[in-house]
Amino acid sequence: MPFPVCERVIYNIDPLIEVVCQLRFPPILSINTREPSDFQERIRGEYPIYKMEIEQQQQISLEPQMGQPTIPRILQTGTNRNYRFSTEDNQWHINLTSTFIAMSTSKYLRWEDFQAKFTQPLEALVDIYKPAFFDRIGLRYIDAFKRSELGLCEKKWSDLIRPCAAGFFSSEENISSRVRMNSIRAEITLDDDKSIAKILATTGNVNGDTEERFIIDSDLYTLGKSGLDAWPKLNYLHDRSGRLIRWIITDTLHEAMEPIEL
Amino acid sequence: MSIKQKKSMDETNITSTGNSISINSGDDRYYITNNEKKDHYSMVLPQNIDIFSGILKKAKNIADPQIYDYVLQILLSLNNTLHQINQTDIIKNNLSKLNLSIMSDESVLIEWNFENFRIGFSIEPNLSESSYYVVSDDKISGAYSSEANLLTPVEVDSVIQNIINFVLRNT
Repeated sequence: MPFPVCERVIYNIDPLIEVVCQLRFPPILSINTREPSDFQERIRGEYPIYKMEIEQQQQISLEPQMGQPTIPRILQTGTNRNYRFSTEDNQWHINLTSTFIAMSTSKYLRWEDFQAKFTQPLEALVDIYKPAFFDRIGLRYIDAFKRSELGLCEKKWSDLIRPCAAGFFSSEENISSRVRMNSIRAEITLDDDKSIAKILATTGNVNGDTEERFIIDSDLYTLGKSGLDAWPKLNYLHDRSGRLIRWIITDTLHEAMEPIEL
Repeated sequence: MSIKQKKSMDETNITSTGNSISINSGDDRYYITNNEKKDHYSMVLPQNIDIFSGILKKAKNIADPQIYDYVLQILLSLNNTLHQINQTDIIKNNLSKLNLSIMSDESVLIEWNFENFRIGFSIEPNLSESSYYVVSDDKISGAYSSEANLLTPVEVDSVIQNIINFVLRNT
């Protein structure tokens, strides 16, 4: 069974920069053709800010001809409306399209808060639009560890991240000190034999900050038809995501983030 | 050959068309974030396809905010597309760097020069007059050719996808 059980904690110095939950369903065409005023009424108290974006999907033909200029031709054009509802502080967002509902936040504190924020929009979706089923349930956590914030400036990434995720940073000093770019990608089947953890471990930068961070982008999802009560699966994915991140980081990093047991 | 815009079906995301990635160019460490499409983080492109070195510092000198936004949209799309392609089909080509020039009329020219062809994006003070071009010598298609079209914001991703595919085929 991957990723051992661990105590559930929240961190005083929280590395999370984004959490996204997405539930996909078979296309509901009316979402793309009529503005979701009933849906908005159900959630407007919590999510008063509204915006609509149009996403373009185009198919282009590029046929080179001898001696003739190559002119891209647009063959088909599809558009997708993406309705975005946000809290007043602009930290929590609900996105609704004809094929999914998603919630995202940069202010994730604990799972129970996330559940509370998503319950009403999810109920509104089911009541108003009656999706037939969900065919993809996904939960994505993006952690970005910043050494200066944690008093770990003297530590190497190999001291803080398990070798399988640290990659070349775990090699000898004369190599690890010269690493310019290091990305590890993995997909691991979880113990229900259906869900998958898609993991990207990389160094990068966040939001204009020049200090390099170590980023763990873990996207846990289940494909296939499931009933409209998504919470059992979401609870499972949340639990496994916690085990995954605790397994990837070392005790040194774990302690530096000042864990508080729940 | 038909090119479909990549749909991010296998990622937990808030958009249908996938993530936007902000640009981090080597030692410049300048950041482009598009506030409309929230960027999570950026990764350094592999050296052979890191085409942005130096350009972001120059872009900061663009005075007109609308032109600046449009330039960033193009750079973001280039970065995003290269990342996406490189994820599934490692790019082995060595790509030249972009050049950016700010003209006296405040228009901006982004040029991407190769041995046998040149690509350019011209962003005008009147944004609706912005355009792109592809000029090639006879080694590409048997005859010298040039191609220019207007470029609207909604077409940027599609045009750049085509251009990058053209570049990768011919370098």
